[in-house]
Amino acid sequence: MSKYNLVVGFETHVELKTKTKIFCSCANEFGGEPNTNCCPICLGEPGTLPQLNKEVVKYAIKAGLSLNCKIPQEMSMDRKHYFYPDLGKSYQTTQSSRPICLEGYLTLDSGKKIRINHIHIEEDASKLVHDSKNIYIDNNRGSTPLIEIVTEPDISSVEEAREYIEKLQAILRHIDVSDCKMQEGSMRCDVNISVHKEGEPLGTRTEIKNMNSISFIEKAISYEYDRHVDLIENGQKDQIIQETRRYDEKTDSTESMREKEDAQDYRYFPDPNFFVLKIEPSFVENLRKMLPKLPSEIKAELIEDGIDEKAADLLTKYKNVSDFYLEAKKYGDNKIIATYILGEIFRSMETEEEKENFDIKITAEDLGKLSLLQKENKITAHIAYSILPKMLKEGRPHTAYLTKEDLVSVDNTEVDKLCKEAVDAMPQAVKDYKAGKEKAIKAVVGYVMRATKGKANPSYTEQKILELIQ
Amino acid sequence: MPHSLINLATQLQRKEISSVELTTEYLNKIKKQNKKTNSYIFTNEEVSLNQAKKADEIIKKGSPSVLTGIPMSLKDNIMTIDMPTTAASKMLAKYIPSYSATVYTKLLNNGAVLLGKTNLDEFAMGSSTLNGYFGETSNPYDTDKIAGGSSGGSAASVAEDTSIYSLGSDTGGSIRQPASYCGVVGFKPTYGAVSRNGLIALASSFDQIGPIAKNVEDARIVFNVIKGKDEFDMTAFEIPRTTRQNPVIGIDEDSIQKIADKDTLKVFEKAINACKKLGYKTVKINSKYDDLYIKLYFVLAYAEMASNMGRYTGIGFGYHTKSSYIDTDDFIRKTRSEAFGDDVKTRVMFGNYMLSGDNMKKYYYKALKIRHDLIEDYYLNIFNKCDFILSPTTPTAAPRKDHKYSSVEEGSLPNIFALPANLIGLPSITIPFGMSSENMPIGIMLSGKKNFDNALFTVAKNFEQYSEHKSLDIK
Ligand SMILES: [Zn+2]
Repeated sequence: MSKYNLVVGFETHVELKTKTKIFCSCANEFGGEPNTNCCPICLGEPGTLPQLNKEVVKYAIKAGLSLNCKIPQEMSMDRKHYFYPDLGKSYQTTQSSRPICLEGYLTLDSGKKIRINHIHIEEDASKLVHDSKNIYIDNNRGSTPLIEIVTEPDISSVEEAREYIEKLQAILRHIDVSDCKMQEGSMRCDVNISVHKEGEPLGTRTEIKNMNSISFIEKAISYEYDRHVDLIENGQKDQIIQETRRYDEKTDSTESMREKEDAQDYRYFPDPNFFVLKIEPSFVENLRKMLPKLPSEIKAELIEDGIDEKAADLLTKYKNVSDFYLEAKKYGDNKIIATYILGEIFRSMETEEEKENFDIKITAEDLGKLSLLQKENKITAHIAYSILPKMLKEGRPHTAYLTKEDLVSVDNTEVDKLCKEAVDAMPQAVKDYKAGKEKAIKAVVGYVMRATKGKANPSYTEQKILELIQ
Repeated sequence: MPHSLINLATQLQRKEISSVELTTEYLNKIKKQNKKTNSYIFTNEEVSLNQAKKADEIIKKGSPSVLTGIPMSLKDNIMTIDMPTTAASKMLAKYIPSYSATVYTKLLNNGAVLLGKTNLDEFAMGSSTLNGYFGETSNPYDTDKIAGGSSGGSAASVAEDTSIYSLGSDTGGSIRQPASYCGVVGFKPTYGAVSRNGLIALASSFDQIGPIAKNVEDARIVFNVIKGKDEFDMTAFEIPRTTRQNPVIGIDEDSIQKIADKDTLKVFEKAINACKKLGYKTVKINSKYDDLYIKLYFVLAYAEMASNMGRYTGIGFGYHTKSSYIDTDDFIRKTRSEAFGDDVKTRVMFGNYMLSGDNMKKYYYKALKIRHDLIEDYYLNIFNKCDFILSPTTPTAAPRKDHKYSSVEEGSLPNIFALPANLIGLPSITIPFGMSSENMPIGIMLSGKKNFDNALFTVAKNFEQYSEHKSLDIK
């Protein structure tokens, strides 16, 4: 089956976290009491007109700049029409002919560039709640600001799809334009999928709408790939039709939604309530200057600082983590801090969401200072690791847990003496080691550690013992 | 002379009369007169008299504006939080807005008194004020004749003196045509000069709110109060102050000769003579008064109307069907079928047809391009020769109510002189200038370059001196 190439493109809706909605001054919050954050404008009452929120424009341009997009000097708004209770005006104000950002790309670790066709701004629809009899409309979400990021079909594997979404999340969180929480719907993906043989034209694509989890996206792509390939192999290529499908997580399969979506004629046309909007290049340049470092840039710096690539990846995946790390670094040793975060601290967090939030009781400064003690051999790693869980749980500074004894560094001549004692006391272990059982040396080191109550430096101790028995 | 704004303002401020007295007088007059003309859809004495009391207090304190205490009316597609706003449609028959239009707020801040809401064609779709849910409005000069539309109620109320001035809306002549038929002044400002916030949208890139008044000066005063930038309308802006010394008047005599009837041409002849008396130079222009304007309007304005009418689904506000329905689509379909009149349905269908599938490119975008070229052409080939364009407002005086037009195009002819100002966004004013052989008013129209609203008022006032119009005197 591998003779078929997979071709995937993404249309990703991202909720912007501006203070107010896109066309009125209602708070951009939802989840509260239904229909409390709305006004005549976002309800689409007769006679109301939109006022474009400048912050939305700024956020969208920031997203565009961090995805290497061009920002045209003019943009316009369009209307997309359909009748549905989630849309008070019966049209969505969006951008189709002149979007705010054009032609960017996102670079994967392999160096491959996933091209961004464009980014546009638009308003979200209201939330509908169905029960067996009725549909309830919650307008709090109505007219909250979205950007839609549309890629070219440049993604060619499930792994690349995952990487694209994870990188996109990391970038948008770093520049602080969105939470990108898929489980809460602040990031939603439509995925286009087709297959074809190398050298042949692209196959017919299908679109899976409204995906809200990376693992579902992976599964849906795999399912669609297999479905397309099977149909082609069985001579039923004509059964792959351009259509919208829905992924059903219970059956791990996709099904057609054609009856609803495909016959739609959205009748896009320029919204006469907006003139063509000018975007000054100086406005864009100012935003560019204000952009924080992007995850890829921070990652490169971490690697330069001696952090290995995998660790650097994890540290820059979540904005709150990388912010914390960079802050802690000011007070201590970067590598030791990385081991604290990726080790003990991440272990205390069960979900991705907890890592995203990174809401911990230790301050960056305190963790940095702890790492400095370890770096300067004033405490051992063993001690640092033994107090970290308590710090995480109770939120008191590290000094509250260190005893005088912990802080007394062990004299190396004392360790040297103990090493000799250990070698003499454990002849069998030494013999095993010499016979090739490398692990046996740990037992000898352990003797010294026990004798010093964990205060000896383990690597120094091992070095010393090896010298003695060679 | 009927009561003018200036005269009454003076009397009010001299405390020769109180606003409560004046308002009571007008409310009584409406009660009598409305049986004849049906200019008003709705009045609310309590609201009006409360506003009048407030106005009297302001006058007592000695801080009134010219509009303080003056009773006026608003076309019933302008949002008023204290009176229903129906757009003369069953769809909004009981609708009370949750906010007020910017223009109403501005008038209230100036101490104005709202007498009531005036009649119109349903959703302002029409030029007769015959098709609204609340019945026809008749021309006060002859109740067998139409008042024109869609701001027919506003124009008739000012003509019959059941309001001192009124605000209407003009999308394709909807202020100027009825004002001309009813023998009053009607002004459509530069597009964007007045906020559209709170005006029930018809065709958003054409719509403008403007004053209908008894003379040019009154219209100017009201315009100066309602104009200006608005945080609730991104297309509204502050027009600059403009004047024009020795203006040149452009006249497309050939087209006018072809389109206008004898009575109208006779009055128009007097307007040309007025130019000479005023010492204004006139030049021949070719403003192409042909059915291109009508076609452009059909495609572009109807498309916008169709889109703007989408929000009337019965969900959230307005009328909704009482019969049973299978699903949301069925509910919306039944609601709209039951609540919209035929003229609205026609426009919605026509407009959506223009926006559907390939028609979008074939008609809509093509028309958009022609509109753009037309704007350029006006400035390159007409406004390079002249400062203002003079024409009759309508080709004839108000027709009989039972007058039948033979085609849609012919039915649009009454707006042929008015349409360019909407397509191009120009300020344009109609002044009553003479009477027809049947003693019906005939108006002349002056249009200026974008932003030249002030200069246009000055010129219009000069023309007004030579008007041979005869005002009604209804007691
Ligand atoms: Zn709102």
